[in-house]
Amino acid sequence: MTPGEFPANMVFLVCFVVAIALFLRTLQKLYLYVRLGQDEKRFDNMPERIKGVLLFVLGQKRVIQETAGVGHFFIFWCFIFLSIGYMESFAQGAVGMENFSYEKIMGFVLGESLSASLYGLFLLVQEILSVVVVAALLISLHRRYIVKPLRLKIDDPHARMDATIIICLILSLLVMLFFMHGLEIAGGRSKHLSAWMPVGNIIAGMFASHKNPEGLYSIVWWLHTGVLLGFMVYIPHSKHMHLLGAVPNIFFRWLGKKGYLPPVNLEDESAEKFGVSEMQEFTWKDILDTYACTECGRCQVNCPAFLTGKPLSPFRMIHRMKLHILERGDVLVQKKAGKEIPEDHPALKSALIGDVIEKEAIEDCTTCRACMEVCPELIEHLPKIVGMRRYQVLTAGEISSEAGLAFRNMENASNPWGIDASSRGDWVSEAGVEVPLISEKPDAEYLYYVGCAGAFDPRYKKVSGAVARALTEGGVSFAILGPEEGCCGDSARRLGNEYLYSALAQQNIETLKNYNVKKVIVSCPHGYNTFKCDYPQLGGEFEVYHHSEILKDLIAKGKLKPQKADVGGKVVYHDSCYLGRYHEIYDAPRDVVKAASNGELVEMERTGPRSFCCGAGGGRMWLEENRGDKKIYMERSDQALKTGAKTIVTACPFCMTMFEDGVKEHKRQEDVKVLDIAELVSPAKKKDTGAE
Amino acid sequence: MAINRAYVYIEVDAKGVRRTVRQALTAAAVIAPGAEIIAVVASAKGDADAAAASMLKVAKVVQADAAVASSQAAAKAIAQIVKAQGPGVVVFGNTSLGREVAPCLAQELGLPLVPDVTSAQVVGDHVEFVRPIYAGKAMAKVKPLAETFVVTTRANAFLDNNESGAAPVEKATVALTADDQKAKVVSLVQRDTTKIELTEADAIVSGGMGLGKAEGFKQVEALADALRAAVGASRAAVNAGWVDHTQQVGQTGKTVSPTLYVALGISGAIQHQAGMSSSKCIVAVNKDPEAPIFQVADYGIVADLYSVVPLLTEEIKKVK
Amino acid sequence: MADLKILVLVKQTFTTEARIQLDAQGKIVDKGIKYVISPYDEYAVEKAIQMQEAGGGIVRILTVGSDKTLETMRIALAMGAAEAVRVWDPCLETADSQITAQVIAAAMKKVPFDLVLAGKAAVDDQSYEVPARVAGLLGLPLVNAITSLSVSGTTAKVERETDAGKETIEVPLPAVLTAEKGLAEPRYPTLPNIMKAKKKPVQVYGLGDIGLSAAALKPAVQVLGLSTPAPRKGAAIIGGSPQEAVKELVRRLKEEAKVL
Repeated sequence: MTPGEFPANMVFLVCFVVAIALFLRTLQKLYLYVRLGQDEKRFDNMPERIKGVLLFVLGQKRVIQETAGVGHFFIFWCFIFLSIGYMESFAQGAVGMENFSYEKIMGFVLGESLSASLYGLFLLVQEILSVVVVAALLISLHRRYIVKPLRLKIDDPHARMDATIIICLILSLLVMLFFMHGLEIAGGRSKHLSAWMPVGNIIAGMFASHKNPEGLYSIVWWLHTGVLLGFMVYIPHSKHMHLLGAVPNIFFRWLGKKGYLPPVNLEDESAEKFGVSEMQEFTWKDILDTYACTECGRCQVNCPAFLTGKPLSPFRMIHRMKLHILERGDVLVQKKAGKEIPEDHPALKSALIGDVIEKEAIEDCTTCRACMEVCPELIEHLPKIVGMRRYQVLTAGEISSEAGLAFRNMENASNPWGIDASSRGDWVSEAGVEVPLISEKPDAEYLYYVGCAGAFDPRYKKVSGAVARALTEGGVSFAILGPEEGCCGDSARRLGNEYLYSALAQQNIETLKNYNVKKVIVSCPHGYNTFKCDYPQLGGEFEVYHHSEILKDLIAKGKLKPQKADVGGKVVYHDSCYLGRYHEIYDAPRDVVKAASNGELVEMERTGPRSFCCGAGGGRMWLEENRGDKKIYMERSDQALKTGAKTIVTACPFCMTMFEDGVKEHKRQEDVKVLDIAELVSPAKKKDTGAE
Repeated sequence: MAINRAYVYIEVDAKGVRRTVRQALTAAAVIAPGAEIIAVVASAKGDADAAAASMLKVAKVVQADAAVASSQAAAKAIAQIVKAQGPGVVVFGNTSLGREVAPCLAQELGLPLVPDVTSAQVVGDHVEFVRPIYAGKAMAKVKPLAETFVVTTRANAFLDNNESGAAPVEKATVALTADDQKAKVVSLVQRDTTKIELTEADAIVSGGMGLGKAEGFKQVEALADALRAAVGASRAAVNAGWVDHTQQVGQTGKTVSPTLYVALGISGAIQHQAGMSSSKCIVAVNKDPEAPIFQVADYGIVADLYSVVPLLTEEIKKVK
Repeated sequence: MADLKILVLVKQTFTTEARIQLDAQGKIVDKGIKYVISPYDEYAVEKAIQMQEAGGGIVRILTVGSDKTLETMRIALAMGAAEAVRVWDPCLETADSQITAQVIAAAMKKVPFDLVLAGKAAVDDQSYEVPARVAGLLGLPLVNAITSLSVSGTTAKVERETDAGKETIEVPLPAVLTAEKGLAEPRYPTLPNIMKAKKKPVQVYGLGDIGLSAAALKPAVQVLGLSTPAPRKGAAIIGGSPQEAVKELVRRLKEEAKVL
């Protein structure tokens, strides 16, 4: 059946219409599933959104950050290019080879010879790209079956098979394309273009003596068309759903602060439920996120929990959420339309928390944001995890005894250790410098929010003292709240206890507003993030600085002239997640280290935006790390020790604790020191007895 | 007003009259100087207990002639003895049994109760007591508003200076009904003294990374044995695999508040302090004089553990 | 018993970590202090609620205190207690344990119960007194400091650790049982339950309502004054040779700290 001739054109049209219909029907379903989600406004700032699509979709910005992603770049662009050819091919299938071709159409305008050259060029590019892509696909098969990188590891055999099917389908399309080129040349139809089709030419050579290359072409054409239409039907059911999900997902991406978590309406006294335990309780964008996942697995090889053998994998989580919504979407749509659905409907059997995502996996997350930083589709993992944690804590009451203790302590003493709240200002007696209370110095330019660790932890009190001395030396006008300061609430919020967080946050905001505070210096990156990203949601708008920013500024302006501290050799700086990835403060602390130490500043392999969490974020500071085959802080301190540095510098009390523990447990506390940047720059205590 | 009689409620363990009760005898003499001190036995194994009590230096031992199987029955029995012998103060050691019987007796006799006193002083015509409240974070000076009253004395608050004697034993008829003994002990499992629960222990010896190696815990255990203490550990020592995680003291481990806490080679990071800083008396041995543990400790020795701990164990054995 | 009526006696206290400071008059400063259910009482509340959840029944809580106790009562209600009873009269501000016990015993005539649970002691005055006196006043059996509890029919079976060992005790109901740590791990109330607790009934009785009068309540003990110990000022570092240091340490533990 020669393509395009009756009745072949009728057969083709029927197949084409059926495929399109099936495709659209699935698309409609997927759309309805997304609409099950909760409202969220993602239509603001259109120029930025369009820019994002250009950058992340057409430019493949995130994709090509990894070598393997370069292959994807070519596959992507090759497919765009080939699609133009596919349209020609479909048109030919409908009206016949002779009646339609780009070459002919262009010929009407440009003249035959120019048109042939242009079309030839198009074919050449097609062939070159296809060769590159065939190579890329073979490499990817090699990776999947021989190299087997951790990145691609998933416990779902279907997902693996799916990826292989897709690769083979694309491969077959390309191979068939070459054959079609070759047979067209052999059949004489494209002889005049043979110079533009090097691969086609080779194949044509193989069929030079064949009786009926046109007939063979028809067979390959049908096969090719079949695969193509089949592919279209298969796409929305496969990992290639990301072809559909990616563009809208990147378009609707979160444009606000990176530390954003959606607020919870705590005013609703009749609410029976807080947090998320069902897919439709997520926002529509959360559901869309799952469609966009390409199953590349970059998230999991940057996830500290996954890399230390814990149940959590962000890749697996998103993948399973997608399967979950696909499984129950139809029933939920019917239910939403008012249809009676029995509670025990088979499609509703599995539970999001427990079956789809293990409770342990939800607990494992350190909210380090590494997954979101690398995701080429800009999927938002963290709000989902926190949403489920909220359900666990606020509604299900499933709280580990360790988290429960931390919550109670925050509630009763406004710090996670449960140390008497009235002693919060006592650290100043060890600061070695006068630190005024804001009540005594209401016109201070900055409020220094010390945080729980700076106020209570004997180790970190030395840092708050060092910050206070440096600020004084640098002539900064500042004061503290002392006993009026409260826990910032970060750990409560990220562990899912929005209720407790909101009480703590409102108390702090009220206190700061009472003193008419405008600028705040925060020592703990978690507090910094909370002041910057969380408090504005509750009306607490302040100008917030981390002490690294202030110290850098003081040094740059010459107001602080630190001695070159002896760090005993190389010095390595660890990026705190909440300073680095959350707020892109990478240089300020390094500048301080360089200005204030005599050692060579070296970097760990995972550094900057790819920094590896210490393990204490997201409230994990208060929980024992019982799962996995390695503790995260041991892994990270390993990485730091491998640099050969004699001093590990941090800018976060949690990281400090984790490194001190790690160095101690590696039995290296004799020769490796852990310091905060403030301790490097800070002038010695005024009332010093010589010990410091 | 002078108090003529002081009753002391007798509790006996394997080694004779319990130390806390012997200390209560000292307290009785302070509360009621010159009074006749009567040891009261109201227990399940009356005769044996009375025999033990007869070796105290007291005026006499009065033994309830019925088997007493519950605290409330003991209170009833003592009340009948007090009524028969004549009014007086009744002193208990603040033991688990003493603090159960004492308030029952106070209610039975309609007397004030002054529990858990650490000192007593006769001031004019009344007695003033000091007792810790808020877990020792404050001391209250109190006086009972009646001529006689019931007191329990905190362990170790009074010295045990009782000499041995040969007191006569007198049996007293007490009438107990079934209603007085409703709570029945159906089984009693002797405590396994070799393994003391951390959270229940009166003394705890904990080890940390300063021990340097897993074998170091042998030293910790030896000292704990000598002190009849439970063995605890810092998180780092647990993570190093030296001891089981059930022995971890700290924020993410057990929260303890024993009378005596000995920290060996523990730097005292806040995570550890959160679990033990409310201990009554904290002793730290660490070679780093800057270790934060010294900020919360009452007594500290800055030295190598291995030079101190064996000596300490020997010295403790001598006094315990 | 499916319809077991459990009454839990609770007291509001300072948080256990609160720093105790005295004002010029020697009174405890309560400014900035957080209040909680006394921890041992909270174990009792939790156990009662677990029993209510396992076998039906109903948990009520009873406290003696001013309207300042409402917040902590709400915590018990959020944990799952069905209703709360509060008795108050300004004359109770300085009530000692004996008076408190009298008030509770009188109030209990207005509240049905099969089982009375309480904490073994309040963490503020630590007197172990009120539940025992209540039991005495009402002629109920008492078992202190239990670590496990089960009820079958009209008998409760409890376990407790005493200086002698682990006792298993059977006691007929109604009875007064006091909780030791370990009886139950108090839950963290869920938010919907916190919301619901705001609407649960809190019955308030004055002394007259329970047949008492201020004049009839006579104190047994008078507090003459309070003091606070000198704050910890870091360890006394004992120097000298290891032999000397150890000897001195043991001496001071024995004579000064009195812990040996």
